[in-house]
Amino acid sequence: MSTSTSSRVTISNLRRTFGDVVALDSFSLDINPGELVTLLGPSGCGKTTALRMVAGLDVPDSGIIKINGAAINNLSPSKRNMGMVFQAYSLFPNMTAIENIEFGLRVRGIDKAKRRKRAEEMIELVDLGQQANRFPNQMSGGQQQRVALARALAIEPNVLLLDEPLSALDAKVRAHLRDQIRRVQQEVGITTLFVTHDQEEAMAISDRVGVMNKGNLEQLDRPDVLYSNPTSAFVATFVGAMNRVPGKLLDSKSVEVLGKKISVANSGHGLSAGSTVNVMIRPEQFAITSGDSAIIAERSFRGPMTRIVVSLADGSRVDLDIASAETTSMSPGNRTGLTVSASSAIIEAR
Amino acid sequence: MATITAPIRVKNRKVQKGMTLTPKLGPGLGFGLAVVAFYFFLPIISSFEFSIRGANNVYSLEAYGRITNQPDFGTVVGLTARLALVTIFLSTVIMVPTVTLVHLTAKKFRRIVEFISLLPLVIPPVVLVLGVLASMPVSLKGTPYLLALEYVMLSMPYTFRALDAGLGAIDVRTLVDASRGLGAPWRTVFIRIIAPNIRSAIFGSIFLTLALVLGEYTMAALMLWNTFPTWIALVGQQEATLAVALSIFSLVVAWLLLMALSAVERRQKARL
Repeated sequence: MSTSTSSRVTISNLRRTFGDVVALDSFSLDINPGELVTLLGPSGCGKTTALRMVAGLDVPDSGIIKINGAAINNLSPSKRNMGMVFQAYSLFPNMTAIENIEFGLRVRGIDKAKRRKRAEEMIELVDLGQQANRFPNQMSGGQQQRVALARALAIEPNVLLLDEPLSALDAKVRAHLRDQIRRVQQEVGITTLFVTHDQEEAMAISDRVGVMNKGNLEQLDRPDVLYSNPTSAFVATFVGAMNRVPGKLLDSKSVEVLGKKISVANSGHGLSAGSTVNVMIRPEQFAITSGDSAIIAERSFRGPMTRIVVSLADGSRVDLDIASAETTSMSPGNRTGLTVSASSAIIEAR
Repeated sequence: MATITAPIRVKNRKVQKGMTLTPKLGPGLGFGLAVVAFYFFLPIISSFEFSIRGANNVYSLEAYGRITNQPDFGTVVGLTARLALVTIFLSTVIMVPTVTLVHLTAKKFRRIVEFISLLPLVIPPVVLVLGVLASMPVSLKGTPYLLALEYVMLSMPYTFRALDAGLGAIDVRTLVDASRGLGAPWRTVFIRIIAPNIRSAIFGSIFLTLALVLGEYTMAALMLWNTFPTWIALVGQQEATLAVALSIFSLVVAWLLLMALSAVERRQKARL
């Protein structure tokens, strides 16, 4: 199998409006060769718009898209050499799996023997050699998306673009295909831009994740950094579960929460010392202590971890994730002490 | 009809794998179908009976035997076939991309385009004929191709609806994006992706156009062309039995063509 060339993608200041709606604003992103970057965000945040612009299926109002330093804004989609897998099943219904994979090579004028060989390599890559002569309506959704992936890779594209390719699949197939996409991407070494609204998916397969909100890229980081050190309240709440616990701002860089002083992770919050703020703490960043400052309101077993919901003195509720083995004596109605194990947190006005 | 892939139970009937599930014909539906069939077939049967009734009410197929011996038969059939081919070609080449583009880029204008496509049904043929005569280049006047252009217009209500239904049944946007993304030029997109996936709709539109050309009288008469329908009318002024035999003959030809198109479509579908 020939490996694809790894390209560098540079997107600078893309802007796209639809009437009065700003779908994308000053959107910039650099993707290193061979890297898998995911754009993560809620519906309508502009992630698919950005991806379609890279593919050439949508035109930016302003901004530049470069592949290996060369601007591609003026190239039609057919000239950009992008491999794309869509959210909707996009296999051509009138062609078999192998014919679908061959299609891109056929339009490039590759002779039949060569394109068949390449298509067979690609279909083996996605473990569907037995399904080569099946039509799309004879395959499951997961199989169709794997063929679509093979078809996108067959043309040895500059960049692989994945537009929520797993969203129409059931959970089990989804997890399997997610891992397969990552394996294939690393095996081929192709630069990949992946779009999803599923944070678990994004975290599991990406080298870096860009969280988008209202047309802007809020934060671009490694998944672990994004989770542990979010730089904005939106990222903190969008990625993973998050509690808003009342705290007192001591100065611009430190806050007191549940009796413990921790540092403030977001600068430029504009809040004054002494004010009451929301401190964002993840469920696993709490520790149970002896004391009676909180009341256990709910307890739900989740395998290795148990979710405990406690009520604080001011009536606010906090979710805690605690190792199940440590929760045997915790029952709703019991009083308990609570502290935070985090050393820093995002704050926002309460 | 649905093919059963696993045993299921439908209203206390156990249906096994491989069986086909056909809807049961209730007495009400059966009666309705019988009335429709009677209404549809009675004129045809009556016409056929008239065409084979000879002198002294003796039945014979003599009128049908004389059809191909008519002096103008070859010329008229040749002209009508040529008109049908040109009309079908132009109609397909114009309407398939147009309706596809409406679905791709201007879906909000679909109703307007549909309305425009219906105009030939409400504009009197004489107005259409005069409009086309006035607007077309001189080189086309006096050729049957001008009549073919009229027929393209006249067939628009049928071709638009057939193609619109076909395109509505597939995800045109995704298929086009996928093929364009894979490097296909627009011509390839239409020929290799769009057309094969709306084959039924295209066949439907071809058949409707063909049926229109085989039966259209007013425009051909106004433009002084001796097509099959105008020729039947002419023959009818001299010999009613032969004219009716010709009408039945054209109906049978149309049915045979429909069956041929259906067979081709079924064969293509079976491949999928």
